[in-house]
Amino acid sequence: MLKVKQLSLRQIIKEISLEVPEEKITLLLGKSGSGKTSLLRCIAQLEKEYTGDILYDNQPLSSLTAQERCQAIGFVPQFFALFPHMTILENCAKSLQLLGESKESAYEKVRKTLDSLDMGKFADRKPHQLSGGQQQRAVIARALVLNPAFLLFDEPTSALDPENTKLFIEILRSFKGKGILIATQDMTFAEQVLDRAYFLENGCLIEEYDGTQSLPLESKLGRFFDKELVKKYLVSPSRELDERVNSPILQQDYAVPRLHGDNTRD
Amino acid sequence: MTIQVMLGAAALSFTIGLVMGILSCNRLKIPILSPLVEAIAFVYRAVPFYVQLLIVYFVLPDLLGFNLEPFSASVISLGMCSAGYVCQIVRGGLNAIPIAQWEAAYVLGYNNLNSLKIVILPQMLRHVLPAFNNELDSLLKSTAVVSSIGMLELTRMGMNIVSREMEPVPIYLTVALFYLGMSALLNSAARLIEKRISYVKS
Repeated sequence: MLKVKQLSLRQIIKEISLEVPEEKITLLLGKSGSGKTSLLRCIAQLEKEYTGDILYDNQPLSSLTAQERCQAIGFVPQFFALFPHMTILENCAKSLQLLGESKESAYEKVRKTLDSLDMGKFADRKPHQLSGGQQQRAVIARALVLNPAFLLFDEPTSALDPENTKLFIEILRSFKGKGILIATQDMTFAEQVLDRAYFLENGCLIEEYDGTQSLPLESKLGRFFDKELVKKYLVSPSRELDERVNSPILQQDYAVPRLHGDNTRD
Repeated sequence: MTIQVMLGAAALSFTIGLVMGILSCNRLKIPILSPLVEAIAFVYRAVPFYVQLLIVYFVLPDLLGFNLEPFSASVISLGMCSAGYVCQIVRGGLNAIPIAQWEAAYVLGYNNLNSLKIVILPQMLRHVLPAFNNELDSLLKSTAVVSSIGMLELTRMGMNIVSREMEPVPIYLTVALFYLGMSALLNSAARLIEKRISYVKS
C-alpha cells in the first residue's frame, strides 16, 4: 500500500492524504493546475521540499535507497523523456545494468518486457523513429523492467490517438498485482479504467470515490464527468448525442439549455 | 610547432572547460565552488589573451620563483584563456538539455554522476559540437600571438623568412594558406564527427 499523509508542497498542494492500494487503478482527477502532476512528482520524489509523509509499506519513500525506490515506484511522465541517443533496448537496460545486472541478463529481461508490450521489433530503434504510442509503450517498458510495485502515469493519453488509447487501456488491465496511480483529465479514458478516484481542486482533495459507493451526479466527481461528456458532444456531435442529451440526468444539468441556445443570457 | 601548441592548449582547455562548465550548470550548482568557478571563467574571458600570455610568461615565474619555457607558457595561457570560453559553451549546452531528461534518469535510479555520464553529456556533445569546432578554430589562429614570446611557430617562421628574403606578399599569403588549410581540415573533421553522432542519419 502506498499512503500519502498530510502532504503539502509550497502553495501548490495543501494537506492531501490518500491511499493507493495494490491491484487497483486509482485516478487523480481535476482540472489543469489542480495539483495532480505536482502530487505525482512528490510521490516520485522529484519534488523534495514537501511536508507530510509518503509511505511505502509504512516506510517513508524519502528514506529508501535509489534501488529500493525504483522497485517501489515507477514513473511514466507526460512527455515520455526517452533518452534520444540510445536505442529503446539501451534506454530500458541501462538502469538494470546500473543496479548490478550483467548486460546479457539485462538485455534478456528488457526483450521479454518489450515483447509483452508488442514492442519487441522496435528494440533496436531510436526514440525518434517511433510513433507517440510506441514511445509511450517504450517508457512503460523502461519503468516495468525495474519491476516496481506501483506505477505512476502523468496524463498518459494526452499524446495518444483513440486506437493507441484503447491499446494503453488493455496494457493497464494486463498489469497483475501492481498498484496504478494515474493523473488525468481525459474523462472518456477515466470512465473506462476507474477503480478508485480522488478529485483535486486548487491543490486540495475535494472528494474521493472508493469504487464501492455510487457516483452521485451532484458530487464534484459526478459533475466533472458529466460536464466533460456534454462538452465533448457539443463540440463534435455524433449519433450518440441524442442518446446522451435525452438522458434525464444530462438534460436536467447541462445539455438541454446549451444545445438549444436557451442559456441564461437569453 | 603551431599544431603542437594548438593540440596542447586544446587538451588543457577542453578538460578544464568541461569541468568548469559542469560545475556552473544550473542543475549541479555547488555553493561557493560554482560562483568561484564562474568568476575564474569570467577572468579568463575578460583579460585579453596577449596580456594573459605575458602574465604567465613574465609575471608568474617571477612571483613563484620558477622558470617557464615559451612552449609551456604558450600552452598554459592559451589553454586557460580558451577554458573560459569552453566553460560557457558546456554550461549553455547542459542548461539546454530538458530537465525531464535529468528527472527521467533520477526515477530510473541513476545518480547525478551516472546521469551526467550516460544521459546528459552525450546529448550535450551533439548540441555543442559546432561551438567546440569554433573554439578549436579560434585556438589555431591565436597560436600566432605566441610568436611574441619567441615561439617559432608558423607566423614567426613567416616573419623570419620575410626579413631574410624581403618578399612579404608571397610569404604572408603562403602563411595564410597554411592556416586556411589547417582550419579546413579541422572543419571537415568536425563535420564528420557531427554526422557520425547525429541521432538522425541523413
